[in-house]
Amino acid sequence: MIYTVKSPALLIIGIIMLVWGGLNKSGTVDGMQSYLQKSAYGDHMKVKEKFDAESRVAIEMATAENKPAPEMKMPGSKFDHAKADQAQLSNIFGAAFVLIGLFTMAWKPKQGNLDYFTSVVPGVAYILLIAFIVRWGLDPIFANWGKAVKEAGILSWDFAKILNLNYVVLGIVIGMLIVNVFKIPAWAANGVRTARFFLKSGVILLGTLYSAAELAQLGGLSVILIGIFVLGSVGVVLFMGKRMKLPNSMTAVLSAGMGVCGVSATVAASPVVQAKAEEIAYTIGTILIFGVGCMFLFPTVGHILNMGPVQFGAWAGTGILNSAQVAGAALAFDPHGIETLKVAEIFNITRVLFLPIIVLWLAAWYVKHEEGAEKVNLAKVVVAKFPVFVLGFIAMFALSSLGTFAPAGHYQGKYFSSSEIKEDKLLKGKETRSLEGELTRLSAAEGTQALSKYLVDKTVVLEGHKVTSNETLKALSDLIANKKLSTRQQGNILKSLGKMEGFDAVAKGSIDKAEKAATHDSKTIKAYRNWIAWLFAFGLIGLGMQITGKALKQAGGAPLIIGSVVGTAKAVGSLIVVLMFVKEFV
Amino acid sequence: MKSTKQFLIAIFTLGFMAATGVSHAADAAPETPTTAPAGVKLVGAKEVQDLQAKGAHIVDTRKASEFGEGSIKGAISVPYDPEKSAKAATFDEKMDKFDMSKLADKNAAIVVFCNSGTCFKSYKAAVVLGKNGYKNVNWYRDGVPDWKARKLPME
Amino acid sequence: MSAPKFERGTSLSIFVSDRREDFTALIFAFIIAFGVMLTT
Repeated sequence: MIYTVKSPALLIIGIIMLVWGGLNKSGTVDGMQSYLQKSAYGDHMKVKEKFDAESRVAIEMATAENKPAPEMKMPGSKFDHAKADQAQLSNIFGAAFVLIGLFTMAWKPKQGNLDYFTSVVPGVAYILLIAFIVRWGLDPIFANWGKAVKEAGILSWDFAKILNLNYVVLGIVIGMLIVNVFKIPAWAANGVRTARFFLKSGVILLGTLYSAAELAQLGGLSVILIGIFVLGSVGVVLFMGKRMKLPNSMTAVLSAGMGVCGVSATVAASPVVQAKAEEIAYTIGTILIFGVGCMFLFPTVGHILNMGPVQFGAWAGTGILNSAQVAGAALAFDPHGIETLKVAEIFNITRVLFLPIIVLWLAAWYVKHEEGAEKVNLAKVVVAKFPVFVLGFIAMFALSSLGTFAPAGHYQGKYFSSSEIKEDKLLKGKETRSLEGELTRLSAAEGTQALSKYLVDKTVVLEGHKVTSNETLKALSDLIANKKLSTRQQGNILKSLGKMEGFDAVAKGSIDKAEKAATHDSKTIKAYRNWIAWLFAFGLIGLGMQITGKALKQAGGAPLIIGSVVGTAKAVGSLIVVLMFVKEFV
Repeated sequence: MKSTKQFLIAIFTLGFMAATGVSHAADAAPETPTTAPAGVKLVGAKEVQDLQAKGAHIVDTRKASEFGEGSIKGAISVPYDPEKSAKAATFDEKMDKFDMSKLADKNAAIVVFCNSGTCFKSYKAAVVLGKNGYKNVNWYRDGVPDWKARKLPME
Repeated sequence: MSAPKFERGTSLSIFVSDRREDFTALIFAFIIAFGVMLTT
């Protein structure tokens, strides 16, 4: 069979990409980009102002001395880099697609490998173009709208963040839109099938973002607690799905979504159980909708029951199904707390760690139930069906934990290091003076009393014990002496201190600055995140293209029912367990 | 045929986005007016130095953290914060907060500054001071970047 | 949309089998991983 379909489409896509690259390089689309890349543009304005001031002064001085105005060039800003990156990516792929496009138009395809793999390219180009639009266009547009709506006061929350309308979700939605409103063009058909491959690659790379060393920082009891709920939820969903006679693949992927939680978990588990695209969509939809409801309900309940920050953090982290919503609930409950957010962090890592285990379990479960009542040698089957790409994920995770890509104790590429702080990031005279002022104030009788009250009121807890005034004052004086942070714990204590009412604004700014100076970004991990983002964007758009309305209708309402039941059970169950066993310690 | 329709719609959508973008770019980076508001004097670096020598209050209207990072030597921090009103020549000052209690003397010379053209804080502070009976308000529009470029003393 | 018939792979994958897809993904991911590591 000949796969290559003659069409100018590939060439056209290549040209569109080259045009975009060119427009960026020439600055023609700066106006639009200033809206789309808002934060990068903010940096650009800062650089421009500095440059304008300098060139103005230079010109003044030159005219005063009767010398010709000096040639000055504005240094590159983040905005320039963002545009250059887009241009580079666009141009590389655009050029490749134009070349291959011309080739396919002139060539007479013969059956064979060359024909097979060449026929994949147009579909890949098709999805890639859409990925460009989603990541560079739709994602920022929705992010801006969400912010604008919140600032205008129409809603008190950012709908884009809470409903997770990032490139991931938008990608799936666009894919679904295309397949249901239009249809996949014949020339793209073969290439669109590569989506799952790219998705798997992305999941493997996901392992690089996490590190076991970070987990060690955060405490064993919570890991056990979360582990119980993850495994429990998975088990309950599997049980219910079987009882309600849902297709095994739907049940399995739903359990991954409800148990381990998160879009990436769902996506990672899907190939193992041969989940259909619409089943994945259902799971993601259930997670997001249920999660939004929880996000509003949990803080209210938490306050009614007078829960402490650690308790609430544990409950939110276990019961709410999506990290953005966990963070939202944590902040809604306690805008000043660190513990709640820290526990949410624990949850994120733990769930990632449980993913390989769950995937293995689901693989075995799926095979056993698909084979039916036949006596199946489970061990043999597991070996045969073992999801190899999960091995890849584990391998990456292991390498990351060993510090291959970034210092071992990193979380998503950010790590704490006191020794790497550069000279120019140390605290300056005015900043240390403001801190000294606060130290004196808080060391005096009245100040110490207020401080103690604050620590007790806000239940400031660190690694199992309540933080004392003495510890806080010591942390502060150490910061003044060293002009930088020495340990993470010190940073955490001072972060809490900074939120105290009446604390001097300049001093607080200094603490924030010291914290930022001690947090470093690993370039390698940043690059990985970018790759993962592209692979996911690509894969999810392709995934969305497999979800037809008919398929959705066929799946029916059963998954939603199970999802809601399990979600509610999880929420209530974790509440009970947390209230009973989690006292104010981690 | 359907794929042609698809392409047309895609291009149409892109065009729509571009239009949105352009309209937003119109106010993406508004600049403060180049003339001083009523009752306020627009000053440059030289005049600020003279005023400072005569004992004027040099007021940094930026956020406290920006002040700590580095400011004009001898300046005090009176942040115009939070700044919620629109970045335009006419704005609703009731949406913002500017604590004037640090500037007790309404007859004293005051110089407000922030971060130059796109930063509205010092402009708004000047307007608010003028409206509240401060007689000697000076607006150093070019602000910190200008002071730095001229290599004048920072702290 | 009637799924075009594919001799090779399934309607969801260009690879002949899941295993092959996994291994290729593994290799692809590792190439990216080490490539990035060496260039940053």
